[in-house]
Amino acid sequence: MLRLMMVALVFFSVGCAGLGTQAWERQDLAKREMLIISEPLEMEADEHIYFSKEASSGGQSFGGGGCGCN
Amino acid sequence: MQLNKKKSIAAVIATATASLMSQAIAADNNDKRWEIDTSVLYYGEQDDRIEDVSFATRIAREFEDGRQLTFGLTVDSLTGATPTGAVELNQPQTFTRPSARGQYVTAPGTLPLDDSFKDSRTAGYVSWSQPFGDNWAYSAGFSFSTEYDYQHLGVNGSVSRELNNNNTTLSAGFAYAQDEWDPEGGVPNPLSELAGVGNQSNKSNANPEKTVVDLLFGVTQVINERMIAQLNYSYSKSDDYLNDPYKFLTVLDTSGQPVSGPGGLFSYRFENRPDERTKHSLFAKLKTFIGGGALDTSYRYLTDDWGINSHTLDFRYRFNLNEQNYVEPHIRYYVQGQADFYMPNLSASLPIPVEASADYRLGDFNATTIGVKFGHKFDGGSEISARIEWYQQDGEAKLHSVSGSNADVFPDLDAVIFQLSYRFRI
Repeated sequence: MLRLMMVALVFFSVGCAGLGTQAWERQDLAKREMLIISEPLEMEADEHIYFSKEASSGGQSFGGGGCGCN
Repeated sequence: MQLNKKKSIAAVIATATASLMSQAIAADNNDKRWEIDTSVLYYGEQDDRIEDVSFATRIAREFEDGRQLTFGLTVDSLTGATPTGAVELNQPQTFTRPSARGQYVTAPGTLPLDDSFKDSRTAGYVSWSQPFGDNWAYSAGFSFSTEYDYQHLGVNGSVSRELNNNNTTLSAGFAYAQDEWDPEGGVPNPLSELAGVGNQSNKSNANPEKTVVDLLFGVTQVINERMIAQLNYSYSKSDDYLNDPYKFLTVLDTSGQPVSGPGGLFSYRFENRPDERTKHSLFAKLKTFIGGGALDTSYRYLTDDWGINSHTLDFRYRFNLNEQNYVEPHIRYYVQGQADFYMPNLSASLPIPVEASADYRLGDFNATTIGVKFGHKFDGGSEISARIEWYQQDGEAKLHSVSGSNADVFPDLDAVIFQLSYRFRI
């Protein structure tokens, strides 16, 4: 599983070599709402709620402990 | 005009770099280097189950050359009742509180809830990020949380590398957490029976620990002028005490009736989970600027060695009504399969298994979140937003080794989430 996912990551990064834009073409990407994590407090709140209520956590950022979560 | 254009290009370059490094400071306001996010959150479940009021702040200070210090603090106040794992019966049930100093009675036909749940939690983190060399950056951080019966300490670090004219970012991160339980009334011996008032002979005063190691590898890629994608693989290994010391299972005979246990109670046994858990997850996100707004689409697949597999799909679209106002609908769908050792009850006619838990969070269920957010940007650059969401869990669990029973005993959940946020710069 680990190996498969690492291979997928490498393919993704190699395949991305032909993609992209020049810096001056990024007006839309530069908008705040286009940040990968545009609302950090909202994300923190959601991750805490779902960590407490579901058996899955993390993925986008670290999903470790930090909560007894009854 | 030429000057403005130059400034604008510089701002765009700076922000694009920052976005690839996931630094959330906009570049159009460079003279104000502190960005402060604050929010108040209400989370409430139906039937007087858990209620949480939470105040959170995140403060980021930007320095020269892209260095940034970020710290956050959250204070939660939790009250209400939470499912114990016991199933509802057609007769009254008496339970001893975790402190062993009292009892509570659950009426016939009612889901047993421990109504003594009350806790406050303070959590915080500090993180420093800095570029180094050509196109490299690192971050290092520390996190903690403290509540009545649980403490957490953690460290984390990451490195990232820009490639392809800053269109590609490769990153690798590491986190280590050391948590400690100090449960009310002590730590129950695994699978021992719930005892009567004053009897704590099946509990120890140890403070069991839990350690978590997380690794995260990611690629962020600019696809074109209006699209950016992220793909992460993460690995998480938890060790030592992974039980919930307050959860137990009802012991039923083959006709679905309870059997007698110690202290005049029915027989309930505390849960026991494996003492290690390894999770793998793959997370993909696509952000697209379309129709004048940002569409945020993500998917996560998670699998672990407890037998749990889950899929999470999340969509948000920020529709800009005008320069100042936006509305953002949100839909999230989650589905998980149960852990190998999940069972709603134990059977009196079968040997006690080595591992068992009736914690509904380890069961088969799906969950849907539907919400909407409204935001308003003020002329000075600050922003206020409010969101309301409904979260619903719908699961299915059949009694274990009870003949003729087809009842669904999964404790479905309905919750409302409200968050009011304010962001400003100084």
